[in-house]
Amino acid sequence: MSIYIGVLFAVLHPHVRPEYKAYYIDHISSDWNPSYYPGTLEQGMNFSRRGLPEWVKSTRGLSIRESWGRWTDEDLGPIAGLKFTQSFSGPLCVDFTARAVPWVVGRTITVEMGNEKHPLRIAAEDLTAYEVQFTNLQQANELNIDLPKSLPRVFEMVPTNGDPRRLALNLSTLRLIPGRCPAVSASAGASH
Amino acid sequence: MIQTSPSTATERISGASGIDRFLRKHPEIWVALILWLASNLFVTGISKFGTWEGMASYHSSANLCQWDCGWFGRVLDSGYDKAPWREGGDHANWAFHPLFPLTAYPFHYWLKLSLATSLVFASKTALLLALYAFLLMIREHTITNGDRFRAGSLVAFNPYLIYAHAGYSEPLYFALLGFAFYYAGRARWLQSGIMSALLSATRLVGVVFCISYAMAVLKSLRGRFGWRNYDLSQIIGFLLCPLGTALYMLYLYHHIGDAMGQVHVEVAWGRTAGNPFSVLFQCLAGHHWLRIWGFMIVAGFLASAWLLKLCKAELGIYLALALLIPLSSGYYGIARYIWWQPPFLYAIYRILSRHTGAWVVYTAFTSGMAAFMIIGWFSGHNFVI
Repeated sequence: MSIYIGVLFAVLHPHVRPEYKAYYIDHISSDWNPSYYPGTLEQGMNFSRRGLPEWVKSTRGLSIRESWGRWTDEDLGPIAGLKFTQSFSGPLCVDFTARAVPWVVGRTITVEMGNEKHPLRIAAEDLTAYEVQFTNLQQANELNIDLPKSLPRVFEMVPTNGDPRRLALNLSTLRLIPGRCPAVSASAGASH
Repeated sequence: MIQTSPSTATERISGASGIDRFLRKHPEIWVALILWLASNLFVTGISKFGTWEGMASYHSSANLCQWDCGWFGRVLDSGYDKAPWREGGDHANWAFHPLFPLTAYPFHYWLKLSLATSLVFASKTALLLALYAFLLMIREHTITNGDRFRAGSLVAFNPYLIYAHAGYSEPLYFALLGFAFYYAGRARWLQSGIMSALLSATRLVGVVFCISYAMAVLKSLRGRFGWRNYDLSQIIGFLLCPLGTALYMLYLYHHIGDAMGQVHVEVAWGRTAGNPFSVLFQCLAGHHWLRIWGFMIVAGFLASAWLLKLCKAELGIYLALALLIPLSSGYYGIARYIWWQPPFLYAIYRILSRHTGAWVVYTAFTSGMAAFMIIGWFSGHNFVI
């Protein structure tokens, strides 16, 4: 019996690193032991590239790397996002490109950073540029994308596709630009 | 003419009669041995034919060691990983329980065989035990040697027979579970508990046998559920059931700090717990192998219901849970989780016993499927895993 009591204690009290717990137990991180490459906020990050830029500490809610980028997957958490190695204050422009599954086009998501939240309408299925202007951040170090809830699995919407994931957005690139967002042309399909 | 003393001749006759009497008393032993030899011949033969035609690359037993066999080999070779680092950095070998690689230890470290050959030999040895265990488990329904051969052929020519010859833990799991059910059916509770402890050290799902064990105990009490009606061997047997996995979990806690590491590491393979019925729907709505697996899963649940109807609830409940648990994390590997369950083959035997004409059709189907899977094993396509 004491063996089983010991097992119960062990199960309830893992002694592992926070990174291990986030990835393997809580599933709030999508990267295990990533490699970091040099880069600036303006150079941004390419989600299909292996590793993370040195200004991104970890990701959450994102599926495996693919040639297009990384899909958000509701099974990995209802919120997808990035945690940064630095904090941001004041105005900040989040400029990213993404594709979307057809059944979320036209829906509105919330992009959140620190104390600010902004709605964002998903404009199109094809690769589209989006900008979100944060005006007065206060020591914010996480960017979260609050996705629609209860997303269907891909195979439920497309029976010939065996993908079991609950996808929404496929993130391709992301940049952080301190200050105001640059003007965006209408042909790029930008959405606020 | 060779002269022998009368006493020596008498001894020889007695000895031969003794062996003959023993084999007559335990026909399951020689039936299992013959079927085991036939199974080995079948796999070797089909592999050779495939190699001649360029569809396979079989030159020795070691070539059969593929896919998960490699993972068991890593356990046997270097023990369990201290941290995830394999195949992209987040994989580790914790999901592969220790008992099966331990059975390959003598082949590798004492007989100095290669890792691959050792694991293949260990699984082939376990197949012999699996055949014997199944014949014991089904003993009450096999009267003639013909019955025994038919029953044993369900194992020896299983559609997913390749896993018994390829360094996988399936035949060991099957053998231990068969023995556990056999002993529980004969109220030999300590032996059943010991088999279950070894079972849970082979595959995590073996822990589910605790429920079957409890049901078998309650069945033996025939409604007399008062606490005075239990004996110590029943209680000790029950406590033994999950011991294998408990010890492994304590080891993982000591080694890596996570007692559930064997479950948590599945995320590296993209497997997280979900709704098993959603996976079943995905299979049935899919095409090709997905739909085949979906039909197999449905057949598994129907067999579980059939076992309940036969008043074999301890078998039916086990089969249902042993399908639901792996199904909750995806469909890969589900075929072998169905076909390498003693309760599933028990149900098939009982059904075919009622329709004796179907045996030929069934055997033709399963042998053909087994041959196809053997060829497919060398193809590198993942429908075989």
